[in-house]
Amino acid sequence: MSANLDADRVRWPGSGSLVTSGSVPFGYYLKESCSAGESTFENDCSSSAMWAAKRLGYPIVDIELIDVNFYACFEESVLEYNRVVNEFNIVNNMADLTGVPQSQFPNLTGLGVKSTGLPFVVQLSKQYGSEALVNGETPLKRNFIYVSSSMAGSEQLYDLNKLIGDEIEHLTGSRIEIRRVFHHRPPAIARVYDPFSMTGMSYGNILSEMGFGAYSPATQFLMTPLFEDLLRVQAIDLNDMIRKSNYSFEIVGNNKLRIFPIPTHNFKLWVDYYLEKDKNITNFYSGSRYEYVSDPSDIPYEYCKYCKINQPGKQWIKKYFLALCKETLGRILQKYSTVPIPGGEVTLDGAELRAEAKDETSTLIEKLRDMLEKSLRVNQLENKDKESDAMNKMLSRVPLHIYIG
Amino acid sequence: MAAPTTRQYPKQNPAFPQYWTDGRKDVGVYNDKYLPGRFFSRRDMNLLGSVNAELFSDIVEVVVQVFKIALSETNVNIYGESVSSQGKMFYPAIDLTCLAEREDITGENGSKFGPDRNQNVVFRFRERDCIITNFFPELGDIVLYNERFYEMDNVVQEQFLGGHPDKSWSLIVNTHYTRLSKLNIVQRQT
Repeated sequence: MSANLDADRVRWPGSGSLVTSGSVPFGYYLKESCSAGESTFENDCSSSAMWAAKRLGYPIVDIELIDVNFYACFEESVLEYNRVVNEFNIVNNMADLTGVPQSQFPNLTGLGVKSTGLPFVVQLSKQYGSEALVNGETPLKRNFIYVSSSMAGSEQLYDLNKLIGDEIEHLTGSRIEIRRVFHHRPPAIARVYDPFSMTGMSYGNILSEMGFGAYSPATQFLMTPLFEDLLRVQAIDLNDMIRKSNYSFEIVGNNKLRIFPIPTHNFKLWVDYYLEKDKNITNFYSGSRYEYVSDPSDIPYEYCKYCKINQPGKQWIKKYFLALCKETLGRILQKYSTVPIPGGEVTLDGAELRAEAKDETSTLIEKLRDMLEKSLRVNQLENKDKESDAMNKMLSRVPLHIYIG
Repeated sequence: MAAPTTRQYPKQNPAFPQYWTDGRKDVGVYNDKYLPGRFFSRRDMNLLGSVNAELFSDIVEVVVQVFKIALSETNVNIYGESVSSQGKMFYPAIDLTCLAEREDITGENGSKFGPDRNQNVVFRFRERDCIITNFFPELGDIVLYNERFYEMDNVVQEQFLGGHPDKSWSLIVNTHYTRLSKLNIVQRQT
């Protein structure tokens, strides 16, 4: 035929135009600096388009896709691969990276994260530390109440609300939580040499031991093992506890403190407390918003370099790309449920293509995630553990005492 | 005899003003970017055209030759009929793809003029092909198919995508098997 009846046919012509920023939607992987021998995005994009067209039936049948459709699918495949791998990295390193200044790692893609995760654990444990009174991050505050010994006013019961709580609440706007009451008998060790403690060694002994007995150099020395001191301390404690009024306290009723024994002299009773607002407030990393890594959305994993993706990765990308091409082609062919032809209509296989594509993309994503999950740090350690057990088992069957000369 | 040079397809020929759109130049045949209606846009039409082209050209591949009657070259008698000694004159054939829907061929023996054979065939052309090849089928035109000649009896142009006349999709031609003696196309024994 002389006239060109194929002039406006929409179909893959057999090859595509040059892959440039104008022919791919985003262009994240264009013009990378790659080493010699590494396949670039541009080359793979172009060759994959030709491969996919052939897998879809070209040149036996027309493929109603043109180069920009293929290129968009290819770029999306790389982006999808990139996304899944980055998600894996985020999950794997979340604990290690939370709280790290963003400026420290502008882009973590392609960097191996070496960390034990301890900084995060320590950070978390500070809150436990507060509860255990072992240097947590909540400031522990101290205050006192006056304990009176006058006969008229000797009090065992002290209203903590009235004496401390209300005043602090007035000043700080927060209720308090009493964590420690310093109401103890004097330490027994201070009375080891107390001649009136019934178990003491008398001052005479201590003066002699220190060289002051009888105003002359020591003339006698008592050599005792340390456990004797400990036994003596224990004896003093038990004596005080059983034969005397034991020092103790309890919280009764509505935040009332009852102390034992009945006070016989005036003193300050010190208490340690937390402000509730200090404990309850959520602690943020100091600094401005987005200054520190806070959640999966701002861990700095960015676009990878296409040419650095290894062979299995590139193969995954190609397979996913083919599935996306099927989906796109199916969508195109299915825009109209039937295609009019002169005097009739035909039904195309768009629906089958889309179903096939959906199945393939799901399977590919699932397989990739499965593979990545196996390489999670915790799973690698488990595998190493199993490997070690297996190795030991195997070695246990190796005959011992074999000498090879 | 050369092929016709004037536009044969009425919608592209200003000689047929009835196909224009109220004389407007921004719509209709004078603006090939104009396609009314929300469905079947130009891109859609191109896609559907591609599928049709593949079906016609690469899958079904029924190619016929069509001969346009050359009225100005045909000598007529006082009744307006072609002179029997000279017959009808046709332009050179062009190739077109189509879908052919054939009825069974039948024979008549009862006629006093001797046995005769009849067959009706419907040829379905893509209108777009007719436009590009500058061929508009008309009554009297001849289709060569299966080494038989079929004369056009009727041309149906009623398949409008989205119901829009500007999106006419086909030209369906009803033909009947014609005798070689009526044509001036094949050299025959005299």
